[in-house]
Amino acid sequence: MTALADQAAPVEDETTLSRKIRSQRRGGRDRLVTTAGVVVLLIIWEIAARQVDPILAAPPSAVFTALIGMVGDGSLPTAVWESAQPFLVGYVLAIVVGVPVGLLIGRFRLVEAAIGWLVIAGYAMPMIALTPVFMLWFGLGFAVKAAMVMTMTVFAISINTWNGVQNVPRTLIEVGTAFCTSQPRILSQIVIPSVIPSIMTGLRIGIGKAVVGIVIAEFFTAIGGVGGVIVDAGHSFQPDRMFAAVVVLMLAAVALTSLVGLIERWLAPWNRSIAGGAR
Amino acid sequence: MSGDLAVDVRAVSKVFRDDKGRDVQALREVSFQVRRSQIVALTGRSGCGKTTLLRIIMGLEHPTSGTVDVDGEPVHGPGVNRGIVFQNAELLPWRTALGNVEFGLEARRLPKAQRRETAERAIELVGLKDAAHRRPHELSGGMRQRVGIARALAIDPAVLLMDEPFSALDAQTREKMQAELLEIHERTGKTIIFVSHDIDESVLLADRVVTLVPDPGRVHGVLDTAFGASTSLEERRGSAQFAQRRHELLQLVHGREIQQQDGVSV
Ligand SMILES: Nc1ncnc2c1ncn2[C@@H]1O[C@H](COP(=O)(O)OP(=O)(O)OP(=O)(O)O)[C@@H](O)[C@H]1O
Ligand SMILES: [Mg+2]
Repeated sequence: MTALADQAAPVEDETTLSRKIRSQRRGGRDRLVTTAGVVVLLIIWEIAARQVDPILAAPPSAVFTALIGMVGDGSLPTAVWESAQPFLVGYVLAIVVGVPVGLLIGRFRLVEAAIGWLVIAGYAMPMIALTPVFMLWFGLGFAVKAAMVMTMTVFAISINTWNGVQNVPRTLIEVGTAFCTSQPRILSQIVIPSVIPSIMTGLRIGIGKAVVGIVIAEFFTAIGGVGGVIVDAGHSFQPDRMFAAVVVLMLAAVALTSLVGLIERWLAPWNRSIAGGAR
Repeated sequence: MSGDLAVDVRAVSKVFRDDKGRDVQALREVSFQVRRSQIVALTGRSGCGKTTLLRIIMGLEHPTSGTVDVDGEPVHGPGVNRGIVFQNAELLPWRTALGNVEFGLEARRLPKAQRRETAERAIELVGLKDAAHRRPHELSGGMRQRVGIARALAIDPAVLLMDEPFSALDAQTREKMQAELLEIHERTGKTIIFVSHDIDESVLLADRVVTLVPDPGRVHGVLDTAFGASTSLEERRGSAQFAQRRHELLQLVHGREIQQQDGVSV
C-alpha cells in the first residue's frame, strides 16, 4: 500500500474486490486438484483391488455398495452415533482442560517447572499401552471411550497452546506494560488473541488424535461404534463393510478438521492475512 | 527539587548482554534535562541508543546505573503520566485502528462511551476517520504509525515520548502531523521528547536538540533552538533563525564526523 492509496479510498476497495475474486478463483483451482486426487486414488484402488482375493480387499465399487446397504439397514448411522457421543465428550473435555493448562505452563515458569515434563511425556506416550488400565478404571462403556479420546487429545492441545504462549511477541506485551494494563487484561487482550492460531492448530491435530483414540477404545472393548463395526467386519471376512467403516472415519476426520479451520477463520480473521503459507 | 523540571536524566548508563553473552554498552553517562512544556529532539546516527534512552524514560528498561526522574519522582516502571509512540507502531493485529486507540485508554476507568469518544477524537486528529474500522494489516505503514500516535495522545500524558514518529510518513502528511503536534503542544503544554533523524524537523519542532554519538551512546552536544511560542511552521521555516540554527546543528553533527575520524587509527 502506498501513500497514494491511503488518500484514494475507492482505489483500495477495487483492489480488495479483485483480491477476493482472485482468491475465489484460486479456491476453485484447489478444489479441482483435490477432486482429481480423489478420483485418481479411487481408480488405482479399484484396479488393484480387482486383482486380489475378495476376502482380502474390496474395490471402491463394492465398498460403496456396502456403504449404501449399511446406511439403509440403519447399522451405520447407529454406529456413528455411538462413536460420536463419547468422541465429542472426550474432545470437549480435552479442550476445557488442555487450553488452560497450556496457557498456565506458557505464562508461568513455576507451572512449567511443575508439570511441563508431564505434558511432554503424556504427548509422547503410546495410548495403546494404557488401554488395559483404562478398561479397569472406566469399565467397558461410554466412559472408557470418552477417557481414551480425552487422553489422546489433551496433550496435543496443551503443547500447542504452550508453544503459542511462548511465541507471543514480547513487543506486544510491552505495549500492555507501557499503557499500564493489568496482568489479567494483558492475558485476555494480548496473550490469548495471539495464541488463538496455535490453539486452533492444537485442535486440528487433536481431531486426528481423537479419531485414533475412539477407534482404539472400540477395538479393545469391542462394543459398538464405528470401531466395533470394523472389528466385526474384519472377523467375519467382510472387507467391503470394513473399508466402508474406515472410509466413514476418514471422511469424518476431514470434515471435522475443516470445521475447526472454519472456526479459526471466524475467531482470528486477521491471522490469514498476516501469516505466510501456501500460495 | 526544581519544580520546573519534567524529565531529569542523570548519568544514565545501560549495558546489554547480547546473545553471545558479551556486554554491549548502549549508553554511557547520559545526562540531560527537559523543562516542563519543552519539546526536545533526540538525534544521532543509527545505534547510538536513542530508542534505549526513550524506553528507559518510559520505564520499559532499567538503567544499569544512573537515574531518571519524571515530575520529581524517580522512574521505576511505566506510569500513566507518560505515553509512548513506538518506532514500529506496535499495534495489536486483532484490533481495528479505533480499537487500538481504545486499548491505551482501557487502563483508565472511564465509562465505555466516553472511552469510545476520546478514541474517536484521537483518530480524527491523525486524519484516519475513514480507516477507523480497519485492522492494522489493512493499513499502510504511515497510517499504522499515525494510529500509534493517536493511541499515545488519547491517554493525554503529561510527557509524550515518540520514537521517530514521522519518519514513515510522506512529505505532505508529515508536515500536517508536525503542525498538528505544535498545535497540540500549544494547547496542552505537554512535555514532548521525540527521536528524529531529520535535521530540519528537529530544528523546526524542538526547543532543544540533544545529539548523541554511538559506541557507546553518549551526549555529544545540546543546542537550544526555541522559536517564540505560536509561530507557525511556515513562519519558522522562512525565518533567518531557522537557517542559522539548522547551520549550527549541522556543524554540531558534522563536528562529530570529524571527531570520529580523529578517533580512527588508519
Ligand atoms: N535488547 C538488546 N540486547 C542487546 N543489545 C541491544 C538491545 N537493545 C539495543 N541494543 C544495542 O544498543 C544499541 C542502541 O540501540 P538503540 O535501539 O537504542 O539505537 P537507536 O539509536 O534507536 O538506533 P536507530 O536509529 O537505528 O533506531 C545498539 O548497539 C543495539 O545493538
Ligand atoms: Mg531506534
